[in-house]
Amino acid sequence: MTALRIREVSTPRSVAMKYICKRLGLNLRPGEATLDKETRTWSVPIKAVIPSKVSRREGQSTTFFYTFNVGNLTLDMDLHITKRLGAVELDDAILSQWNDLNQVIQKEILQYARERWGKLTFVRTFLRPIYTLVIAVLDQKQASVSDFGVDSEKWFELLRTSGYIEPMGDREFKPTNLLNGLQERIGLGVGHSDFDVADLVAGNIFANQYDVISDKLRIHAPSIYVDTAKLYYSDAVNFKEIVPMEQSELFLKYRQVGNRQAYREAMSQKSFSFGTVVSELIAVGLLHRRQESIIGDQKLFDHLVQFRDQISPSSELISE
Amino acid sequence: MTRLYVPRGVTRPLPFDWKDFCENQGTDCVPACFAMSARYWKRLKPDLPLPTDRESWDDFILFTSARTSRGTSLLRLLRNIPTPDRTPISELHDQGIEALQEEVASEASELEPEELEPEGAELEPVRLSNLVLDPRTPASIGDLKAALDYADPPIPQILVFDKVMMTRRVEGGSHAVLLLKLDFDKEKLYVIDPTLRTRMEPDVYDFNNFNHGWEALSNLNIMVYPVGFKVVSSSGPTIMDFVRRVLP
Repeated sequence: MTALRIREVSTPRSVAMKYICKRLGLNLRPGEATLDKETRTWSVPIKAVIPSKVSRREGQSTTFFYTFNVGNLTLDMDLHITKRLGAVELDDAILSQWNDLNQVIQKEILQYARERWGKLTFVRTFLRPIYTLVIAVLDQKQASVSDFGVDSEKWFELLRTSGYIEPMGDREFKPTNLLNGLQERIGLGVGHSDFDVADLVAGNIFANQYDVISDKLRIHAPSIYVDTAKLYYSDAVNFKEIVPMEQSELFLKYRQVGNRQAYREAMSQKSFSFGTVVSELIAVGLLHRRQESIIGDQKLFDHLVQFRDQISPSSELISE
Repeated sequence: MTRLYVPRGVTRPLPFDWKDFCENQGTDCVPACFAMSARYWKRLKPDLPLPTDRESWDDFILFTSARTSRGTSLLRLLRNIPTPDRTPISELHDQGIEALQEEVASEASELEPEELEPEGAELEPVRLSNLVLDPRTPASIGDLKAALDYADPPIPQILVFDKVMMTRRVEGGSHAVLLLKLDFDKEKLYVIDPTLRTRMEPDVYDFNNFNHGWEALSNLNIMVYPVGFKVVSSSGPTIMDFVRRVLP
């Protein structure tokens, strides 16, 4: 057997680096270790540096790097790891930090398209009770929880807090002026129905109560549209141009920082793919297709670019 | 006073075949460097249970790259490494993005298998069949010399560093290259960069710049060698020695 001797550094940070390399992933790196003299343990902060590449047809590309702190590894005095970081825990931490960074972009995209979200498959599928209740309350001028079952209570509450219905007795509701006004605005008749009103209501609720829908009602699938649009626009805004992007490039970004729970929920629906998500976003005008590539909407881009300072990456690398 | 040993001269180069060891698909650096190393060993040791066709390695890089926000880990490489009897992933190629979607769908439930390893084994080298992936943190660039000059045949070393830090002194992303040779007189590293593979010539870094980027990842060097080599670490004085003197 050939033996090879090499000198190595052996510090809490180098041990953390080996651990990261072996099991976590090389977009992570250790920071400077600190010693807790009382517990006689080392704490090594772990930072994620997430790359996002934007390529241009002429061959030049820019890679943006987004940096987040994601947790700590703890080591004892013999440099054995005593507190690990789990893969799922790390993924959650990165996703949450990414969302925090892009909060402003998310909010603006949600508001910009609030009248269009209701036309998208997963909004219609997963927010179906909103459609049912809106159509019923408009048709009969009132609706009762008892008619729709206990499960409907949370949906009545969502419609009430959003200002579309108001109580008129014990667990009975009637349309508000806001909802009646929407119905008038749409104008019922040829080609229009209460379903179109419900589309608008669902879109507005999706835009304004986004966190309630995902955190409280635990409905994640429709987030796939928002995340996909957010991924395109955050890089475009940082690139300062509505840069053409391949669908596969956008999908690779989704693989890195997209909401996996939303993806799983969405893809459990038959005949649905990431390509469908992009096509639907194109259909409602949030993205456009130019030849084989995807490009953003100029008006939305112009609006979002003013928030560039708030979402800028920690560094960027330009390469040929 | 301890005198630091500073190597001189030029190391033996890694006998690298640019035409045969580079892949066509994908340039995700760590999987690409591993694929090049594996093909290097397959040439030297044909009995290693690794495929020889380019397509298998292209698939490996494609399906290992950027699968999570965490980036590539050695365990991830291990799970995707191609073997001669494995169904070629190329069958999924035609489905393109659809196939990748399947990967994502299963990714979330794919936990790192901590339970498969005994306590304390988290820093052991990763071994696949007869090939070992051994992450090391050499004390200096000089300590990369041994694997080229004293191992027979030379051992491929994947250097992982921060390229933005190296070029612009600003923290950026990790990059990996395969070390070709070292010139201690000119203080230059010659590396095989998978993202520049079409040039078919090494990229050259100077020691000082490289050190800035390498230090950001604790001088990480992943050695790739078949079973039969033994790499022994000899630590110099470390922060731990200092702390042990300070603490009762």
